Amino acid sequence: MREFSDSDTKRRLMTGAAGLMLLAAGFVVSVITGTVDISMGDMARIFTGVQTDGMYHVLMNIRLPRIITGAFVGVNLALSGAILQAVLKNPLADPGIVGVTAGAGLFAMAVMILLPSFTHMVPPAAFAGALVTSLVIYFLAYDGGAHPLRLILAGVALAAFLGAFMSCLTVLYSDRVQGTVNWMAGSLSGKSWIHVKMILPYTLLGLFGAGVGAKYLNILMLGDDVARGLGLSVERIKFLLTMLAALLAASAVSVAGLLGFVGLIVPHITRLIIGSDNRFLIPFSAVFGGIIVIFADTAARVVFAPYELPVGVVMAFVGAPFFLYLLSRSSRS
Amino acid sequence: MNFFSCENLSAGYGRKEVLKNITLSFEKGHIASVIGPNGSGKSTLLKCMGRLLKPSAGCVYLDGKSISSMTDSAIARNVGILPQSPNAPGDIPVHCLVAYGRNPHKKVLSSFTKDDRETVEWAMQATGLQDKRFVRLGQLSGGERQRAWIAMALAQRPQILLLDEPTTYLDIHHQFEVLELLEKLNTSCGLTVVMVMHDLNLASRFSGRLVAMKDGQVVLDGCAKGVLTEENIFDIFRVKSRIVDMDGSKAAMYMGVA
Repeated sequence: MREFSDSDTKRRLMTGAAGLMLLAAGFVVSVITGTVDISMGDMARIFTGVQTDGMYHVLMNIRLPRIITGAFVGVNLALSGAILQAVLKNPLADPGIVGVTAGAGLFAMAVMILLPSFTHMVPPAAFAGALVTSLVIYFLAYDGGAHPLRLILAGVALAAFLGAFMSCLTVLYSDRVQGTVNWMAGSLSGKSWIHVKMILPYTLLGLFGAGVGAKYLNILMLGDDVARGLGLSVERIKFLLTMLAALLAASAVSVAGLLGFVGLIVPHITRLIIGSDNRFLIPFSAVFGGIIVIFADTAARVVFAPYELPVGVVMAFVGAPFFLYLLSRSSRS
Repeated sequence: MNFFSCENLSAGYGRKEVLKNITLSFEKGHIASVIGPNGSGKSTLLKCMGRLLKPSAGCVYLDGKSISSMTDSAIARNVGILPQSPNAPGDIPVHCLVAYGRNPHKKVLSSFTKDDRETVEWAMQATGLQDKRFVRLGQLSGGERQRAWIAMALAQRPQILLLDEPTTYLDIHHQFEVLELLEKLNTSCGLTVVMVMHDLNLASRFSGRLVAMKDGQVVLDGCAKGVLTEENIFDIFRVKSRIVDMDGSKAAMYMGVA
């Protein structure tokens, strides 16, 4: 018996091939473009170890770690969004909904403004802030079960609450706000191999966890009653998957700052292309998440060179209109 | 012996008590329908029996064992339950939905075996959906979609199937299609069926036993002939009716509430 119809299999193979090609293309384009021009030939010589001059340093220690960090940030945010959209049964859910953005933002801002000599503590502080906030939201929303609407409302309320603290900080310490702008907008500037090492374990955990969880996400999408009828321990699985999503998003924002829209848009585009089966949606979202951040960051580096935009700004430029387009489409149908 | 029963079952939502001290027992291999007016607790009873809702008091027993002591997947291997008009993304193909029914038989990392495949195949055959396997749920007719959900529940290989108004939103043809399917499964595989029904005539036509509920309590319980009388219908639904006899089977004609 064939497992899937031919047209489904064909579309998935085509999308997969296109995705991998785009990923490779994005990688190459991102490596060779920038303030220092590196040709394809230079790139080949550097990777094969023939050439070891200043260009080697630019490529291996500046561009490459930045690209890889960006790709992992994209993967984690996209996975996080894909998981949350299925758990909350809401195609407009994103990591911000479980408090990751607000929590990470406040904690990171507090460190940058109140303890400026401890800026190396920004990533762990953002990470802790994101996780603590998402836990608080989860338990505020829990009432015999984590109902999606309650989660979303609790998330919005807590985000507004933490946002008030951030506004206080910006007003009271207006002289120090300058240093936080890049982080708050999401930036991959100056990312090194340390950041790759910081985020890699979470990317691996996320790929594994979301890969295993995909079949449960599919069942959760049938509704809590049906899922329980199929023997799923619904509340336990929802909690585990939500926390995995929070962990993934927290690891991404702790490295790159508040990078919006990837977690919302990438799973959404992917769903339009390959459908809602999470066993495919999850891995494809991960690949597309990586691609989009690589391309957006390349644009952020070169469009206004020598000035560099935070990658989050580029994402929002492209992401916000796309979001509005999705919104108008879904309200029409 | 008690096959599937509940004892002193009470349940509700928040502070509102919907089920009041219900004791019932269902026999193996029978079809039973639960009837009653809106808000009488039919669906709540079904949800408690299928552990979708935790009772505030009392117990549900399966083969003499309390289901609160069983794991979620152990219950799901014995009891299939379909809520009223379940919802799924419209782009799932039929065979994928049916395959979800194998979940209670799977561990976290176990793969889909030949045995699972054969069970899915059997469930699609039994519900007449073998030619629709690659059709997406959104493209099926209402009756076919309901059959797909039943196929999913069958793939669980349950002994008991609990259905909450399986014929809602279906036209007469599809209503009969679904109920005749359940009847066929009951006779051919000995599947025990307990369903909540609104249509009294269909309920009595397809089930040997009617359980009538009102205000969270069981008010009548017996064979269709005994339960479906003019007095009983008035007592339960406040509707005047006439029972007509057609070739030995009874049907209720409703005359109005005034």
